[in-house]
Amino acid sequence: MSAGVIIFGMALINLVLRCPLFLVANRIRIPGIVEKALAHCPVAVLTAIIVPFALHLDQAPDASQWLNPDLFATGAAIGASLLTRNLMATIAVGLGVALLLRYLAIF
Amino acid sequence: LSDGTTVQAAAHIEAAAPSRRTEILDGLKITLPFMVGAAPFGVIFGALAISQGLSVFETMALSLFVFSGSAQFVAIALIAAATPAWVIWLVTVILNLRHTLYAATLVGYVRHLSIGWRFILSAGLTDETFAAMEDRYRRLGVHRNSHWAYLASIVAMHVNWNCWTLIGVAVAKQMETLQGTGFKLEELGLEFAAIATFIGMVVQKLRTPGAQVAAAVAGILAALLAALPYKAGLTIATLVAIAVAVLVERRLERRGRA
Repeated sequence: MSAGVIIFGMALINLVLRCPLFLVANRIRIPGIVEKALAHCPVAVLTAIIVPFALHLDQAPDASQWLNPDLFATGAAIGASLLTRNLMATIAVGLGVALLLRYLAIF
Repeated sequence: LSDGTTVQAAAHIEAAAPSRRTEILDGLKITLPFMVGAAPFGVIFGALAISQGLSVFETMALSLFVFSGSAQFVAIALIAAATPAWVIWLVTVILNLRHTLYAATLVGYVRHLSIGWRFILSAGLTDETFAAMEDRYRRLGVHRNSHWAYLASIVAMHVNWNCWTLIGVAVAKQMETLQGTGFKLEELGLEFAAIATFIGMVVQKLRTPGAQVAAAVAGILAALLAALPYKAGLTIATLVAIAVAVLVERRLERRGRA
């Protein structure tokens, strides 16, 4: 099958996954228990993205997997977030440490 | 925990609303770190797709109409390997199932909008806009102009992603020159901007036992299941973490009452 047809199908699937709930939004009421569950969605999904990234689990395994710049940058960002409670400061510190470690080529 | 988004939404909708312009600018502001973080991936995607034999039109169609980083990367690998279409589509469903969760989480904030608005706001939903807007709605509530911030976030992410894809396409055409210098874009480290933003958002949300349980379970499971193909671990970890957090919260509530 041609790449064009495959891509068209993928675009359609994305619409089917994203749109139906919004389109019927004015006619549905989400039950309280589901709303409570969905409140945890951001924390759960973001943590599930962060942890494998910080541990380099999505990359080919190697001996230095645990001691990688992203893990240290993650630690620095968590520290900055706890201390300052400020998102911009967290991004600045995290990105700063990630870039610094990379350019110093410590790892 | 509040009784939910709909009650909040109704309460805030009548309050005095900032102007459209203010909302658009704030939508851009909260999306900016994600735009920086997406840049290297956009370039790598564009370059990789071309080098795997996709045409410029097909490459741009993926970034324009699919807009889902992980699904796009998997798709070009699978297309290059002559994988049957139904397998690629199944993988797309598994990879992007989380978007249904995103829509369910945000639906309470958009139900007052017209069907056209709701279509655009859901069709353009990505990880980044979800993270930025869920956080914003929770902080500021919803009023009659908040969807302009949401729209600004979507447009910014899409323009940004497609521009960087196009640059990657151009880079691929010049590949030999780049290989000579040993320059590797993915080693710049810019992708950490998006991760740092996610970290800042999660840390500020960890104030309730339920959120702490959700983070712990999601983190551990995502690490343990990282080897599963097509990021299935991400969806499984998220769903289990949500379920466990709800159960723990119920327990605590009951104990509090007893």
